[in-house]
Amino acid sequence: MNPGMNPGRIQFAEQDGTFVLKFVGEVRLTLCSALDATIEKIFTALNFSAIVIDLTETRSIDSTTLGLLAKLSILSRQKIGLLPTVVTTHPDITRLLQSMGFDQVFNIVDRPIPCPDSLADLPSQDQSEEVVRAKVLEAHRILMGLNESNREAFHDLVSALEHH
Amino acid sequence: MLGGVIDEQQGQLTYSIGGHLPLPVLYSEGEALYLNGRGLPVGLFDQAEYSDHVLKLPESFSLTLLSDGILDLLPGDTLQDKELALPRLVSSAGGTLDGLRQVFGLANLADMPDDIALLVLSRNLA
Repeated sequence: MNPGMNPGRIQFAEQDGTFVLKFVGEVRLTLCSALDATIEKIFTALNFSAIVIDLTETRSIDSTTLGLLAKLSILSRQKIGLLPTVVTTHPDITRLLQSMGFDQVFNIVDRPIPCPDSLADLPSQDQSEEVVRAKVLEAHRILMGLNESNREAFHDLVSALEHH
Repeated sequence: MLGGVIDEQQGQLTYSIGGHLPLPVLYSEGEALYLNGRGLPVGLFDQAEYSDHVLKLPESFSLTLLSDGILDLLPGDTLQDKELALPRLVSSAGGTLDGLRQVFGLANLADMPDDIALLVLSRNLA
């Protein structure tokens, strides 16, 4: 098939609050009203916790679609304080996203995500209470250093651990 | 979108890029080069910041600004090929608007999927 004639489509899936949108082929403004409706659906879902946009089989994206991707990023940041993840392995798509500065408003993954089979569990370790307490204290001191609201949120926990 | 100011006394261009492809092409003495820069699309993101780029303008130059509709006309299958082709075409057009009209065959275009806007600024071009 002539890739120039590929009409493009958008696929959608959800599991446990993680929403996945996959753009295939040439994604142009003809798909945008369906995409916009889906975005509305995602952000009104009560269990919404993360969004991943798979662009590994995307041939091109027009400016209208880029605008809707921007909307996804803005809403995700507003609703859950996290940026959406975009997976792109096609150099043209990666170039387009970077030229638009989208690396500032998405977590861009530019290689395929390893399949779950290749993930191994971290070994669990029996630690003494003393070691665990030190780790928890260290982690929360770091979190407190990140911003003011964390400082307030973890203040009581950290002082309890320090005085233990 | 992109914006720029030319200071004629200092002979320099200050510009900023707000999400634009293809980038502007500077032509001088037979050579054509892209102006560098990138940035978030204008008017969408509260936290967007843009940086100024400053460039000394040659005595004789032209600056070609294009909308993304031109990508449908540029030769090649990939964006990378098309971006590579554009400075070469600007060079072969001698950096002039008339030259680009001919190189792109603008007078004889059939229906195009997107609009094409083209602006050429020039000074002392032979």
